[in-house]
Amino acid sequence: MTEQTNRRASLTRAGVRVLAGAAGIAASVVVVTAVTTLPLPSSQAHAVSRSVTPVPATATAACPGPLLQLGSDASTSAISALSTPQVVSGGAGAKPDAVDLSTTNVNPGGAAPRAYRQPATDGGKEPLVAAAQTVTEKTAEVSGTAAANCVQPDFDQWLVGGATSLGATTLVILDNPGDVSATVAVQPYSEQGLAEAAGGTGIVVKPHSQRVVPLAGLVPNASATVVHVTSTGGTVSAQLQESEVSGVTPQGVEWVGPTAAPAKKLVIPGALFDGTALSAATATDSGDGGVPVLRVLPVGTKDAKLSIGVKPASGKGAGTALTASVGHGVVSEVPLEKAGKGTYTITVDSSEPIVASVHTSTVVAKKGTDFTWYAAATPLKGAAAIPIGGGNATLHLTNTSSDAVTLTLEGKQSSTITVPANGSASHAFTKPDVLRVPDAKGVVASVTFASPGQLAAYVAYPTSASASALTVYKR
Amino acid sequence: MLQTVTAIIVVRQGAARVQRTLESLRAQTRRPDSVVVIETGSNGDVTPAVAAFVPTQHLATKEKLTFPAAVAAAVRAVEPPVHAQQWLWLLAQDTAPEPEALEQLLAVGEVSPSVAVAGPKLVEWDDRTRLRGFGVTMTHFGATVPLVDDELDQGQHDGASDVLGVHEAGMLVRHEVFNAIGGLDPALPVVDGGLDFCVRARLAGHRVVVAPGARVAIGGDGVVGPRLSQRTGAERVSHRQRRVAQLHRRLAYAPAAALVLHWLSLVPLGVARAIGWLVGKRPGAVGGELAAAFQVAFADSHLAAARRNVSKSKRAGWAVVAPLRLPASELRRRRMLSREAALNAAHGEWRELDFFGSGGGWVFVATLAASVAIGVRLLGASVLGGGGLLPLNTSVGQLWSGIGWGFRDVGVGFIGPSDPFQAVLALLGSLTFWNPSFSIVLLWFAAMPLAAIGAWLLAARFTRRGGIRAVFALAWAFAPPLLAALSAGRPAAVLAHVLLPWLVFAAVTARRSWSAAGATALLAAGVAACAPSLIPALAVAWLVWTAASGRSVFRALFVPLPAIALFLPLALTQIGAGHPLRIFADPGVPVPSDAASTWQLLLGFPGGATSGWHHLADALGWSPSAMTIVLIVLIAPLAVLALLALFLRPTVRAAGALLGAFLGLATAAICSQSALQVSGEHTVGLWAGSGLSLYWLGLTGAALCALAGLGRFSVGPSWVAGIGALAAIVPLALSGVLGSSPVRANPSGQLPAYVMAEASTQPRTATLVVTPGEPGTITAGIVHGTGETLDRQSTLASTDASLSPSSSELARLAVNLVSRSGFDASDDLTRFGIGFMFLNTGSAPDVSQQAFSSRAETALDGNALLARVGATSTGTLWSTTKDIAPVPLPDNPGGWRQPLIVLMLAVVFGVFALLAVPIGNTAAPRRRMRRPKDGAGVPAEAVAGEDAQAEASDEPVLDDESTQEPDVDREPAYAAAGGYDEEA
Repeated sequence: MTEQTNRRASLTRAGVRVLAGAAGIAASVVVVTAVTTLPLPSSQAHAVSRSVTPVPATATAACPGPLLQLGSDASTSAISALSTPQVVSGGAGAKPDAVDLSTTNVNPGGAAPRAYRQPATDGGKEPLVAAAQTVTEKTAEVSGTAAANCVQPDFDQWLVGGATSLGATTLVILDNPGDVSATVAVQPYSEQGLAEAAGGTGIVVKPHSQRVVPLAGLVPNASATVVHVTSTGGTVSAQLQESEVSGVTPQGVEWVGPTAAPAKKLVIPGALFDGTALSAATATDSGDGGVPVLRVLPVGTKDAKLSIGVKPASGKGAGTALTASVGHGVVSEVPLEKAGKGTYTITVDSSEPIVASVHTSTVVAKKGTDFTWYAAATPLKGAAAIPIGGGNATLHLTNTSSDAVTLTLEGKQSSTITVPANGSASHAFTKPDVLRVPDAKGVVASVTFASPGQLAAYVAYPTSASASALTVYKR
Repeated sequence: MLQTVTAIIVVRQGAARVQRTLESLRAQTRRPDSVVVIETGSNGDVTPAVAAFVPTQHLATKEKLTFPAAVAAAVRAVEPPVHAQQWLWLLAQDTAPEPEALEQLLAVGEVSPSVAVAGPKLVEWDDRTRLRGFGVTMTHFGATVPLVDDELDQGQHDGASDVLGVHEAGMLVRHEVFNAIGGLDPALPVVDGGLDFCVRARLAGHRVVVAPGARVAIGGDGVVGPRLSQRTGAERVSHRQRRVAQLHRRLAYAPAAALVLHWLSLVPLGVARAIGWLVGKRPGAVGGELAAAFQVAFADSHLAAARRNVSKSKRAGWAVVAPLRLPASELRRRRMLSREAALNAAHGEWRELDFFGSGGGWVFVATLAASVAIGVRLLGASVLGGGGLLPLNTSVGQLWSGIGWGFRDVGVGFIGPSDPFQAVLALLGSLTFWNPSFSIVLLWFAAMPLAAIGAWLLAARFTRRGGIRAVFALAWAFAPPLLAALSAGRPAAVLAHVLLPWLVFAAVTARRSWSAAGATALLAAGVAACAPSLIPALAVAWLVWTAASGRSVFRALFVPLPAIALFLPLALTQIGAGHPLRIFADPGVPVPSDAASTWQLLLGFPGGATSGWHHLADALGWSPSAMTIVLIVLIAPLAVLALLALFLRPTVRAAGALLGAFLGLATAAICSQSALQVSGEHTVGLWAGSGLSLYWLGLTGAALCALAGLGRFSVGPSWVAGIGALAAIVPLALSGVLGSSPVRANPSGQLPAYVMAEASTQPRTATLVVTPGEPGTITAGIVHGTGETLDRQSTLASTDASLSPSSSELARLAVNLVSRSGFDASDDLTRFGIGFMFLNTGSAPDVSQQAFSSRAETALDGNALLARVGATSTGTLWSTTKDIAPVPLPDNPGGWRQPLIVLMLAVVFGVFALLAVPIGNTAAPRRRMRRPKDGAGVPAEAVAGEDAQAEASDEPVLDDESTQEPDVDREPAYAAAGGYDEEA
């Protein structure tokens, strides 16, 4: 090879190299541009899920059973049953199954408390069950009419009512109609605040049984109590049985069912203010025993400012309004003395979440004395069942919305009833029944039983809505 | 009495070489008395040369007779012998005797009446100085050994006389003896025919001699003796023929008592020897070995006749043969020589890497130290968790038995193929068989050093400069994709990154060594199993490599076999289900990660952990774009070097590296936009990091080429590129140190300790785990035993976009358990064998999770079928009140597929593992007889040696410059390797 061809070869080589390099850079630019700008093929997976609506739970209503009497002998403190109440039960569809609950600390002999169960139908529709009981008792220590709406068991219930001062007897009745044993904590609040009682926690209520806890054992000498019942494990239906004796004269008896959960706005429909009690109170001037009072407990950690409206259920008249300030954690009572005889809807607006009920009494010299508690009612939504627990009953419906609603009441005698906007309506029943309301449209309802010297009431509860549907992803 | 010679010439019709054969016959100084030409495969015409010759007798047959059969036919046509001085001279179309050949043969035959057979020197057709055969003998075990094989004739064998046997071509034999001992054995048509005949002659008491003065040129047409050919498969065929002949003779010579023993040993011996051939890197011989064993064992129809002939001729006994066999010492000497030649040839493969002398040791120490520093929080761990890390099965046996087709115990479980990654895990877990999970800890610490060594060795193939090797090794060990995979806890991606340089390292030499090809195949299977998303890129690289591999294309073709075998069951299942793309899903735990932007990918960061820079940017208050610019500045020197490589020698190697980078980048870009898997409510994108590993390899590889090409100017650029690349990964490295990485040492159990205790006695204990997600959503699944393990994961399950009936029922069960419900769960609990229900709210539930958990807890507490066990730091546990028997594993879930798959994998991987074992290489100096067409007559050893030398020097991955670019580089290949300059 000569020098010349050598040089030519190396020049060619250099040229080839430059060309190759340039081509490589061009290729790099093309690849980077393509990766940056071109839509690349891609494949997207999608999360695998299924939406599952839980099967509606069996609807259950557990009744407190017969009125109970605490043994007069302090050493035994045995509890015995009095007369059997009249019970009405029903719901949507078939007649509910009745389950007798065993009693653990009530002397045998009385009628067993009962629970009513309505399983879900195949269609997955929410089952509906309701039951109520009334009884009129006239013994030396317990006298008066009591009515209870048998409630759906729950984990958390507020019972506003009761007292353990002299002459007052309050029993906490815990029904566990379920299959799982419930561990219940009974936390009594009084005007002194929360009573930390050792016996109030760890109360085991076995499945299908009832347990009665005398409130005096937890908070003695309290003139105004609010009981908070919580359970873990199984659920319980809680009621208070309150009876009062003044001297040797029984002053009445009542079952106190759960009131609406703590909220800043409460509605207490259909509270009967009896003139006889008012006048008697005025006449005797013996405290506020006869005056309707609002018992209230702010559950939070702040004192509550209350704005209380007492509005005639008939819509006639302006009613009265008052304000009050109550301390948190202690039970307070606000007298509602300015209202005259009549049926009222009481609304409470509070700055803090509260629980509240109204206590009224009737005093008829010949017939006797009785009292009752009107709990705050929870709005009824969707299908509802309202039990009419006895004869001579009045159903009070209050509409808190700004539109009038018309409800269909299906029962032995179906009817329709229109509740005016921000107003109330009532309907009298002479026979026990269970009313089914296909769509309750958010009204609140209570049932009162009033006759001279006898007074009883309860509120209607909504069916506890089924749990919401959940979307399940495969793990 | 007068000597008479009858020449028998076997001609296949139309043969070209017969002309010279016949002419040389005519030119004999002592011409044969009669010539019998037998044409086989005749169509009725006479070959013109034969017709012109006018033989004494001309026979023709349509059949394509073998040489022994044709000779037998010709002998039958000749008058039977009447005295001992009548000779037969066996020739074929391509055996041209030199003029004195017959005279010389007769001369040695005349010497003594005891001489029955005389053989000439066989020489190359075109080169009379090149010996092709001059007497044959056997070892004590009966293996044929040519006394002379492919040597230059310098008269060194001219003193030879008595031999055990001679080749049948050109053999002069007494006609009487020929008939008496039964002629040539038709079972030995190609090889050993002459040897066998001579053995029988010896047994009959005759002598066999060679005539050094007689030369016969042999062409190797395959009419007599083996066909000389280098086409593919020739080795396999000739090996089979040799082996068949040897086994046939063994059975023919064996005493009757040993016959059964020999027969029984045929197949087992064949298998054992086949394995031996694999270890000896002669896979071409395996098929022939096995075929020969079976053919002789079951299809040797001539055996009885052969044994009769042997016993008929045996008058002298085997003692006369014994002294003529190859002495054991001579055999040893020959073997030693061939071993030395093999070692010489192999020497170039492991050319002096000088690992410690040129800084490899320091690189190892540095990366190990860095690895420990980054993983300081994991020191002392016996198991890792978090991210995509789970423990491994505690039993090595179960790790292995999971491979193939069986019950995939993930969730409810299903029967199907295992992920190929399972095999990798089994291998990994076996390293620390006392606690398989510990192998993952080791991997986390060893990943960087192992990657560094692999890269260092790879660099050592291209450059001698220790500094450049170190830069490449460090750039690879501290590559962003590796650190991101370590930080995110992705064992498969870590393994893929560690294996990649080893794969390329093996592939570079795979073209000339079966051992390297075997290793390449196994490593390719490993990389594919760890990062299935790389399969398309690997396939493209393989195609390019195969296309450029020239003569060794056969080896290249075999390379994907293990990967194919490994993926076959899964691929068939996914393709059968109509989802071929799902084959590429990342194995292991599906870990959701953020998709990376294209810019991030270009810089080598796979996102997910967002490379740590974003946290740093947040901490410093810089904008993300400023961070991107900093990163670009840090990575730019590397990219510039990579592109610069195209302008420097060797261009092709740089182009190959850049092609790898492009493939990797495209893979990463596609991966970052694809999601094939789901995990709960999240879709899980493909991990772009594995594609980026390939991209980074290509980029740094091209930069390596540039640095190597820059020679002594490489120091500055090395420092700049190295420091830039190292600085870019600092935030990622810190994520491990500071603990922002999800990887944790000794994580607490996935399930409460109560379940763990129960599962230790009942490993099939099932726990329904419900995890609240977004409001209104939950994730529900069954966990068996002590919790999920890495080896139980299945991409078949994680890519399944449908809800199986059992999963659907499980969903219904889960919702009804965590809700107030009238659902009777007892049937479903029994069916799924659920013993525990775990509400997994995590250690810090948010508001919606708390709301859900109170809902679920009340429902679960109120369920008579369940009893609360207690709360743990991560949730609340319930157990079933009734004793529910766990669902046992199905018996023999794999059915017929399992043994089939295991057999396939065992055979494929066994073969490749034996090939890959770097010992016993007998194949390197192939003593291949070259067809003398270019007439060069270069000694074969010399050619092979030169080849080996040339190839052992630098070779790019995908192409061979010395063959691909003859115009550009005609210098010796080693000069083309950068860094081999004077200073180096």
